[in-house]
Amino acid sequence: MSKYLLIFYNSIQRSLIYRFNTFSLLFIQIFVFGVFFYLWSSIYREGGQIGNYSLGEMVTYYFLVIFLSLIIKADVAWRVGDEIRLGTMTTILLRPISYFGYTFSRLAGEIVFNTAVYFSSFLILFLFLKDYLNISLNLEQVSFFLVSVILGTAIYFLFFYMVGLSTFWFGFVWGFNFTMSMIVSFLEGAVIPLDLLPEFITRMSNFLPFKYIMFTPISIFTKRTELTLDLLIIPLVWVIALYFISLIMFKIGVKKYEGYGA
Amino acid sequence: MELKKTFLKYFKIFLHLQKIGLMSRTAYRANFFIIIFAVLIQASFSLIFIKVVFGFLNNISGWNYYEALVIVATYLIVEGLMWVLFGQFNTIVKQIQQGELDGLIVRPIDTQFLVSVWRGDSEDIVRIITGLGVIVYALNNLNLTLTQITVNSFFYIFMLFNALVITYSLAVLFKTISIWTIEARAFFHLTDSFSRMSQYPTDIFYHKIVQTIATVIIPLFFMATVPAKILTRGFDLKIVLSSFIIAGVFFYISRKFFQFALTKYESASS
Repeated sequence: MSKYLLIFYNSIQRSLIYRFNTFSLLFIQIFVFGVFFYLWSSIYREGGQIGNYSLGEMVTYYFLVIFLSLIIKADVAWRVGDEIRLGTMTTILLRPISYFGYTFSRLAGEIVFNTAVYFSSFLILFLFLKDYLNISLNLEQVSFFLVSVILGTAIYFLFFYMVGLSTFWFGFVWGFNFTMSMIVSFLEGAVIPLDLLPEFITRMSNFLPFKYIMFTPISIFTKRTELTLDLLIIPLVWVIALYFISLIMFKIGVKKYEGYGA
Repeated sequence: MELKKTFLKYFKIFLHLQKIGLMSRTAYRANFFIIIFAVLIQASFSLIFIKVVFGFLNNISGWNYYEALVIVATYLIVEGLMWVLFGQFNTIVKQIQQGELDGLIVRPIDTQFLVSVWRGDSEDIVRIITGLGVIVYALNNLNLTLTQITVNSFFYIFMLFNALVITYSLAVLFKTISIWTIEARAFFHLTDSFSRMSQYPTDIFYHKIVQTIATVIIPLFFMATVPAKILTRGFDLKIVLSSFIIAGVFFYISRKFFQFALTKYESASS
């Protein structure tokens, strides 16, 4: 266990080195949020209405999309893919650690670092925007939200870990990773809230794990959904399923691994 | 005569690099076609977003659905041109990180030109094609005569060119900073976000100060809204002149900044 804690700790240290990058990303996302804020406010000022969303709900929705994107979206597939393609995975395989544990600990370190930095920044932003945001929380809701975010992060990580592992078969998955990132960002509700899309897309998203990454946690936070255990049990089942599929993928894929370039 | 010779020399280099770029992109053929598919999906999201929003509204800050489509299409064309012609000026970041910029500086060609055209992502041509298709569709549904469309299109091409110059200059300005910072993933996201946010009409900025920022400091206004305005609503001398001035100023500043930054370059490889 201590070896994974060390990887976790090193990951936080590495994030500290690239703090310029971290703060630049924060600035960029605030800029993007600013444009969306004006887009929605100008629509609602002119008397428009998007679905059954109030201005407060819409602004809060995108506020949380940006916050969660900053925290959970690490380049897992890209890194795993490169380690397979360039042969650098060999150095990890030769050590007495599991590759999954190594990748997970590294990501966990980044998430903890990102949460610390971005949570405090968004708290300040929240104080400026509190009149526009629709936030009134109770303990049950916060607990549901936190568990839901953890499960959503796990789904995101496991899915893109598998996309990265597909390099064992395809050799180079930049295009595949890019495609999946696009599709996932749409089906998780980061582009448009899923309940504003045509019904067949909403229905289709019920059979996929992606809506639990963003749409479900945000719906919990904004009280747009009833707090039932289903909201946590279904993504938990997805996490378990994706975990076992990723283990199988690794077991089969690593047999094809040649480590060229190492 | 000398100018013509220089132009031809640079044009030949550009074509040669484009050819090499296409060959290297198609080396992983399956990946190349998957990226084309991904680019198409990404482009379609911008259009779906507008479609969904206009499913609930008739206009956004005075822009109807078809006019808003022209803004999105303009963004797609400019974005596509940035990728195909200049690879979003991303070469500089990679070259600096790997200490390969030395190899370009010593060549008897303008360094900024070489860095700009070193890499072109040919698959992004689908963005340009999609954008053009959307413009044709939108113009068909707008109440414009053939003469209006012809005249407006003439000025639109100039506005599009200026939008490209502004977007290119912003990329040069931000990505050149990597000469000092080395690690520069954020700069890619920064210019990408500026460009992406230009696909919404800048009339949404109802505060005067934000409107000024979006016109002069980060000129989102000229990156897609202005070309779309000229194409759908006709010639406007003040806007057209401002567009040329802003494009000229941004290009001049970015050029000077790039040349200054090169004097501070310390090769990472040596």
